[in-house]
Amino acid sequence: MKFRSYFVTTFLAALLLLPWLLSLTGLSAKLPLGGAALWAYPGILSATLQTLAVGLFATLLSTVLASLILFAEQHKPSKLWALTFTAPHLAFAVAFLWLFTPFGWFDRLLPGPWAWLEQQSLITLTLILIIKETPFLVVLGRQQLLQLPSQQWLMQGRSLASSHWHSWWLLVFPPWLRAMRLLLIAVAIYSVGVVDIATLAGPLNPPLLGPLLVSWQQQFNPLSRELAAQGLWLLLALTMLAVGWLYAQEKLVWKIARWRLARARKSRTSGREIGLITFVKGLRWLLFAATLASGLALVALSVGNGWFHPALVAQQWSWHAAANTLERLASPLLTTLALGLVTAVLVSVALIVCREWQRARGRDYPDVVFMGALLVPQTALVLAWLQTDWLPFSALSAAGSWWLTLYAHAWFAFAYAYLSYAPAERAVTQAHLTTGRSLGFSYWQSWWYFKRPALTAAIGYAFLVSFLVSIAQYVPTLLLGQGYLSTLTTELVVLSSGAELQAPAVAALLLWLLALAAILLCGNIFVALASRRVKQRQQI
Amino acid sequence: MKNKPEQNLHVRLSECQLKWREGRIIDLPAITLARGESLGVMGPSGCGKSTWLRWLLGVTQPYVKVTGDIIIADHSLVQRPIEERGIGLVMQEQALFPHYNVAENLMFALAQQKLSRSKQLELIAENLVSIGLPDYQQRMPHQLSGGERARIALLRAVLAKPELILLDEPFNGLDQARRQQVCQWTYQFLREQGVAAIVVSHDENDLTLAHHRLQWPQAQQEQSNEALS
Repeated sequence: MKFRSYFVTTFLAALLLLPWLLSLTGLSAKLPLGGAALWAYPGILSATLQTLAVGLFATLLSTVLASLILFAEQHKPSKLWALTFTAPHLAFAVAFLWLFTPFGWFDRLLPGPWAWLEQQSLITLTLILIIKETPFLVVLGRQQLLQLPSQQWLMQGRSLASSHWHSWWLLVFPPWLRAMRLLLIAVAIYSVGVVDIATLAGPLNPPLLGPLLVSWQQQFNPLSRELAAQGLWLLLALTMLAVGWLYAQEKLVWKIARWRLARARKSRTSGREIGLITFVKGLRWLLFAATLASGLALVALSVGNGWFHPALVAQQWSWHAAANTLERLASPLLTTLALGLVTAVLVSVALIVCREWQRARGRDYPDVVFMGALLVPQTALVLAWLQTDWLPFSALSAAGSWWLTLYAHAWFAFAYAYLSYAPAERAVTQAHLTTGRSLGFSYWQSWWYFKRPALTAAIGYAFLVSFLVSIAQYVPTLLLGQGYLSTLTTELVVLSSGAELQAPAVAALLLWLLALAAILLCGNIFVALASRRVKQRQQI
Repeated sequence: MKNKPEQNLHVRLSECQLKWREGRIIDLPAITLARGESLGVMGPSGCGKSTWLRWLLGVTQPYVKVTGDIIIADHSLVQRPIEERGIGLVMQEQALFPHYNVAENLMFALAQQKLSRSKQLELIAENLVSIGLPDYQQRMPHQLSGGERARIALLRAVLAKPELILLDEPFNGLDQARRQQVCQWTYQFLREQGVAAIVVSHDENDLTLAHHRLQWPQAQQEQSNEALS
């Protein structure tokens, strides 16, 4: 059996290109020019500037922190990053706010004004984004670093009498930053268009542009719809600015590195530099501790009854109220699981097909082609889909919204999963597959018997990433689900808007446990599969 | 190796033992080199030559324990970090920093000499002429042939004024004709510059021009206590 290129091309085009086509047709031609209604909206200028500030600062500081951490952890990378990285950001934000804001737990524990962070402010939101984006950049940045011959560069730099510190910043950091370009753009775009965490922790009066757009879209009056259509362009413009800033930042780094290259430098890492590394190592533990404390806080809040300010502990500990909330959350939990699992299966299959399709065509397309979903704000895309006339009416029914949401989850998850699967697949030789075909096996039989065993871990990881991305989706589920669909994430945002603490804590804990269970389960399956392969080899 | 007058001995490596975690042991004889002299070390791939070179350079290698001393200009270097040993390195793989052009690669080596930028550029231009690659300043490493890369990598190592240069399989990846040409040029250049060098290769032909030769010894296996008793 031949590789059915025509069928596969149609499948990939449908999965990957259709959303772009819908977005283009859904874009309103009404640009927010001088006299547009958007500019008359109270506080729009402030919302715009704050949105841009959050996007730029959160991305810049996360990048600086991640690069310092990578330097500090060169010889002994911590395994705790994986746990921090996979904690759902919304669940983390709920716990973080309860711990560190006024009237929160640390405010009660420590004398004096320790809680500097407002419940909802620009600084709180930026800080939460930094805490969540730094582990993401550390974990994926390390993968990028492994693709570079960084150790050889460092060795050569040091043999030319340059200190480890200088060799790192002059020889390794600039190419690493270039290799991270797409990921950093994805992070910046997420930060500019953030909705879920911004709804919980971002400023109010005015809110940031992301939450504003969603609220306009959800109001059924012509003015709000017009504001949403115009705001979408504004968000896209801010995204372009953020991307432009990242390019400028990269150019600046290269310029500085080239200028420093020829200048005399110390051959030993200075005390100040060692101090900075020690500080970063300490900060890293603070990040781990904040994540761990947030997890514990969610457990405590879930079972604590009558826990009012300024009490340090709850009046009563009981699972009863938590169990009631759990009953209420059973349906969203099932929906989350179903969407997550179907998304993960669909994405894993699509990834395999997509890579094999490129192999069959003898062309390796740039990653950016398949990661496009990360390079445009999610809110802007979803709004454009909703505004297109091309969407069939049946998509607005209960069943239609389920399929539409699933499609969106799969589309966004595909971009993230491609990031991890593509490099692993590129590293595997196609020779065994060709040998298999020469022995009379069909293309896919050969793939299954000869190539799949080498890719088991990568496929498993892509499955896990897709599942984790799906369970954290907020904007696509909220807007495309159109009220028919409720997942743990959408439910968590709704519950967090009230004054009650226990229900959002239970929802956040459930979300976190779901992610943790997926990680442990996938991890155990990898280990079992790996040891089975070792045993099989030993038997041979 | 021939005996040389003591005052000429610029590089002295004591008898040395490399002991891997799995019990493999290599014993190396004492080695001495005067300025401008080269030692060719020959052995098959994977026998531990590069591990020894890395130890000389000062790279931490947790899987092997090395005992011995490195004395250059009467100073023991074993406790010093890479950047303070004055030992240069040339390797065929990643010989140059691929993201910087030729001039920038060479400037990196000149940085510690505290010269002005214009003086650095002048020196670079002179040296490029001397190795037969004039006007190569702006070329990127991927625009160079294997032989050109090898020459610029050696020039970069020499510009940093090291006491000893280590060349790890420096002619790998070159075709046979080019290999012989670059090989001859390398030994001559090292001699002219008066830099002691250790050249490691799995190919005997790469080492015919070296002043001294060392055949990498056969590994021994450490005997366990039980076996001894």
